[in-house]
Amino acid sequence: MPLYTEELQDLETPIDVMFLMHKVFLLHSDKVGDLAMEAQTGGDLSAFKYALDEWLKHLFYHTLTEDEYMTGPLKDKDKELQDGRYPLRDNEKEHVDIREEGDEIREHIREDNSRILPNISTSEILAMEEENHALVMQRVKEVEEVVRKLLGHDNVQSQLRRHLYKSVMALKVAEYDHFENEEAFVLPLVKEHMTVEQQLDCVRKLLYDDNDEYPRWIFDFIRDNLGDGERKLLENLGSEIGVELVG
Amino acid sequence: MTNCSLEIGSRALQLDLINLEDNVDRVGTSQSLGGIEVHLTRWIQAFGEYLEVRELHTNGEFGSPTDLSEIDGIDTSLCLAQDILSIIADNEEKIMLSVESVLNVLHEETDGGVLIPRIRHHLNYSITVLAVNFLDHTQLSNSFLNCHDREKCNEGILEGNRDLMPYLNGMVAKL
Repeated sequence: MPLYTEELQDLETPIDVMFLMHKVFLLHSDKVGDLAMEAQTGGDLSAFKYALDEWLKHLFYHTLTEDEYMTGPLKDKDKELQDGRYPLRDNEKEHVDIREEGDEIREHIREDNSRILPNISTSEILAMEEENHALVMQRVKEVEEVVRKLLGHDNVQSQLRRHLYKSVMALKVAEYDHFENEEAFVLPLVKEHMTVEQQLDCVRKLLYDDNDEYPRWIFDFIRDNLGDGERKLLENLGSEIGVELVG
Repeated sequence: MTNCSLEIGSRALQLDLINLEDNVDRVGTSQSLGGIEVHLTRWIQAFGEYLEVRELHTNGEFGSPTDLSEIDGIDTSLCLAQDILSIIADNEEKIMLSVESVLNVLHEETDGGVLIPRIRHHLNYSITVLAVNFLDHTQLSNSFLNCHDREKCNEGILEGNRDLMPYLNGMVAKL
């Protein structure tokens, strides 16, 4: 399981910083989940939206950077495990799934785009025995309008927030499973096939965003959410990869 | 508090799912996975009884669908009532599928009565999906199905069928 609740005493190799990053991301996603749960009873969504944006920004950057700088260079080392897993390939697939779920939540939060009848999927509509799907879509729209009127504004809002909470929970589950898989199956491969220098390059990309106006945004976020001992470990690694310690 | 059996029954089932979530949180301390399965099985029995209550509010005996012509701005020539009843039926099917997912986690992912964090998340999520689907269903049913006589409803359905609806009556008694 991810080293979520344990205090890390040492980074044996640079890539072990992933344990610290995963821990902070999981703590933050717990916070987003709590805010989504509270939002079900109504009230302002701004705190939730802010925390969600932050979470997704980190997850997207983290997974894309890993694909390019961590699993990317190792692809030819991907071997089938006894249980049929291909750790690197599966890892990238999980990244895609996580980003898709994140995009769905972003879409969901734009209330105007949310459908009140999520139980009617596009595939179900296409499977209907109707020659003209436009007519079917029109019918769905009419039914949806009636359902909105029957439920009333408050119930429609509470339904939207309930589904938002469910989507956040789904992403949290996917994130946890992914981190656990990555720590068990991918990090050992990284340690086996990457030199310390290569790991340091990869870690620098993970912690430091060269394309951002404020490149330290990841490093600072991780550092600010760690306890004293683990913060020291991160800062020591930061000086090795040339992250200037300010603030 | 309303006396309509449909509304009381749905409230009781909702609260019982909240209790189920609380019980999952206690697995490993004062609750066992076996206890969770027993709890869920009782909920399924009560849900089955609730469906009978819903039927009695659909077929005209104790209630019937809202006359859509009474709602402003709805084109009554479209005969949408049947579509809404179909959605309600679909939702009921989705609830049963959600129950199946919870049972799958319990049966296929747990090992020797131990609940590791990963599976605890799966279990919590599957119960959340069940609760969300159930709430969607009850909001629509309660909005669309009218009770003919709230005073007689409880007496005629729940109170009068204690032997036939023991699980739902048991949950209602806790409200």
